[in-house]
Amino acid sequence: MASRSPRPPAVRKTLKLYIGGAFVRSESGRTLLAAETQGPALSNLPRASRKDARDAVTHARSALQGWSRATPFLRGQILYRMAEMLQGREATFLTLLRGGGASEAAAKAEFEAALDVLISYAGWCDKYDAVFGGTNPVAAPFFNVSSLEPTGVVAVFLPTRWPLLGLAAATGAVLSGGNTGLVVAPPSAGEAALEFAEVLATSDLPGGAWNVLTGLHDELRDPVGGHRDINAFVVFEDRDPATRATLQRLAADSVARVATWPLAETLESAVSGLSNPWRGVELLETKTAWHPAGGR
Amino acid sequence: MATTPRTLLFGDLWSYAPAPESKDILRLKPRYGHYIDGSFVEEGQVFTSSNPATEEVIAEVFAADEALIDRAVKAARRAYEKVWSVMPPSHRARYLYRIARLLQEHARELAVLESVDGGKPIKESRDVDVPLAAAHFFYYAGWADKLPYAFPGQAPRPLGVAGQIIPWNFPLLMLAWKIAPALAAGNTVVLKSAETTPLSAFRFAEILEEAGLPAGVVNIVSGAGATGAAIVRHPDVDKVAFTGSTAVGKAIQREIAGSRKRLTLELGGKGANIVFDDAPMEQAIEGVIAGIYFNQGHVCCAGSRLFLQESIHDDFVARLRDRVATLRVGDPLDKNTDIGAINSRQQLEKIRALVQSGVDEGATLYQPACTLPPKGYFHAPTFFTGVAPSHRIAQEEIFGPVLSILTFRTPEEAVERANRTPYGLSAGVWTDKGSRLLYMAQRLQAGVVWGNSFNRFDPTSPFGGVKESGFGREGGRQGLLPYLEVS
Repeated sequence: MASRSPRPPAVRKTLKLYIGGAFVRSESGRTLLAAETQGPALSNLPRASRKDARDAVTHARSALQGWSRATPFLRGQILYRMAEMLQGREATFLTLLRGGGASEAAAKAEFEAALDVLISYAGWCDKYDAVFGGTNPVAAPFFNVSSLEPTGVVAVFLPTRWPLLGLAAATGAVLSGGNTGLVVAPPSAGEAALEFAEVLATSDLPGGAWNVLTGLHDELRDPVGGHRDINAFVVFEDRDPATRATLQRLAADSVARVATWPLAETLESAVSGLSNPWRGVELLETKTAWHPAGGR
Repeated sequence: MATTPRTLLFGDLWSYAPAPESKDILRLKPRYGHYIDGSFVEEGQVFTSSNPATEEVIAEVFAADEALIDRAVKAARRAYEKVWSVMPPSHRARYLYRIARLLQEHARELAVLESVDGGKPIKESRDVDVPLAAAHFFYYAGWADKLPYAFPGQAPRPLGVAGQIIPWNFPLLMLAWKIAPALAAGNTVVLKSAETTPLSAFRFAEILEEAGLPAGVVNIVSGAGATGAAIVRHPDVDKVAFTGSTAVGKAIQREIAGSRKRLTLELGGKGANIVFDDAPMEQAIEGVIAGIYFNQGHVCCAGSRLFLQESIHDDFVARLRDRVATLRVGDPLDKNTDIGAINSRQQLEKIRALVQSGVDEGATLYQPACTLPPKGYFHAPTFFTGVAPSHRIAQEEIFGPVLSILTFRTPEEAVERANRTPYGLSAGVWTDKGSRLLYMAQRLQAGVVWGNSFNRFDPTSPFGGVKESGFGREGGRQGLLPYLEVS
């Protein structure tokens, strides 16, 4: 009888994309081998194809009506729940961030920053209208009110630096105002992004509202940028000028919006820039309604 | 049992006596140079601006080339650094208030000039364009020293030099929408007027002289597309603001891709005006008229698609036909004129081609029997019934006095059909029920929704589109944002 090994082999996780509320392999069957990504990935990452991106957009579009019409209170609760789920996975995230080269202190700092930013956006859900909208005193017998509505489907290209912070900010800024969308994580941020997808999956977020892809920016920026059913793009300042320029050019085909987010040199400044509510407001549209007020 | 709607016979027993506004008040020069750094510069290729109602040349202007744009941008940069951005905000406010007052003092002259150069009825330039332009300056003057209150906690800063390109449909008003918030926020400006309507901008430049505005703070150039492109491309322009067609807006967005320039676009539209069966009918008829025939339909937010609830279609169309028959087309300077001249021959031809496409595609055309003046560019008020959503007249922006009528049965269907366009600038909803109005307002994809009204504008009320109608807002606190750095 064979003797049992004293340390059983670990059960490794197959990393999968998060599309439409489900964990799926890339339809292309391609992976980025851990050995080749030069990042912290301990496992092979799915390499999303343009078809995966299109699927993600389709799901995000389908989820938009439900999510944008959910009460801001509910959206706030769900975003806060994400923070709760994130907290529960602290050890895993610290391991992943350290695998990416961060010191123990730096990993911990980024993790806390991600929590802060996510919670901050959870609180914004039911405050955008109060702070950035309002009634307008027109010189006519009308009740004139400006409110903020989601732009629609948003695609975010994550930076390689502070991937967890970037992802938490993107998640908060996009979802808090009622947008849906997809995020494309570069290989070095891939494993943390897919771990974050498990946070999303356990936070009562409707499937499809937020989709997580891992892949190559070089490969995905053209098909994603040229997708006419995406209403806005987010790219991080200076980290990826090629992606930024490409998205801005392709976005013109459908007058899609392109937001460039700051990524300062220090974590503290980055947090301040990314938790600024203008990141969320940039992805909202002001709608102004004139309601007659002259009758009796 | 269906009854045939009654047709009102207005007959032609009485005609209106002419009530022309005098042109004597105009103080026009034979030619206008670009206003750069506080001087009028007569350089560049000469072209003319003519009166679309008479086809007579009014004045000569010049097309600015790249070198002139460079001079204008340099002047604006100098004025930004040395004067305007370092001036106490309360002093900027004083200049803007002064400009507002001077616009009011010159109101009558400016109204006549707008009508002569652009063809719009004097009652509109007198009662809408000019008063609103003055009101915009007055409104934004008040913001100049209150920017930190507009965006609390954000320490708003001006951007620098703004390059602004305006269209020909509301020359002075679009100028005010562009210049007033830019200056209030502390920026300086290079503005290009539209090719066919350059004159009120130069008259405005003379008003700036009268106001004593420091040289270089506002620079105004004339020209066509190439001049606009030179502004957009200039490396020292920090912000581009454009109002015009969606095609040109997209080209600008592409052009500045990869640069640090900020951009706002106010582009085309195909506004839905939705009338429910409980709407106040007489008001709705007037609103539909105002929505599409205001300014000859040269309005980006025009209510060019009329959606009628099926049960009222026949009656509403009959009433609309009667009302349209009373519209007076002709001399823009006549105070009784409802529909003036089409802005240019080119635009008239575009409108005619789209009207012909409506006929060819099988929609039913209605035009009242009206006599158009023998000279000038005029088009009868027109509407089509039996329009299918796939028709070009239901899809494309016509930018003329042409209405396409479609139907719907339920509010949900109205929302779905109204939203089925790449545009998203404006919409109107006519109903007696407040809850339905708000239901519709929440679901229509448009930057502005008018309840029991249409084509209303106010400096305090943000205006601008979603989807391919552009981004950014003009008017209100939100209208400052395109000219400020906030985070």
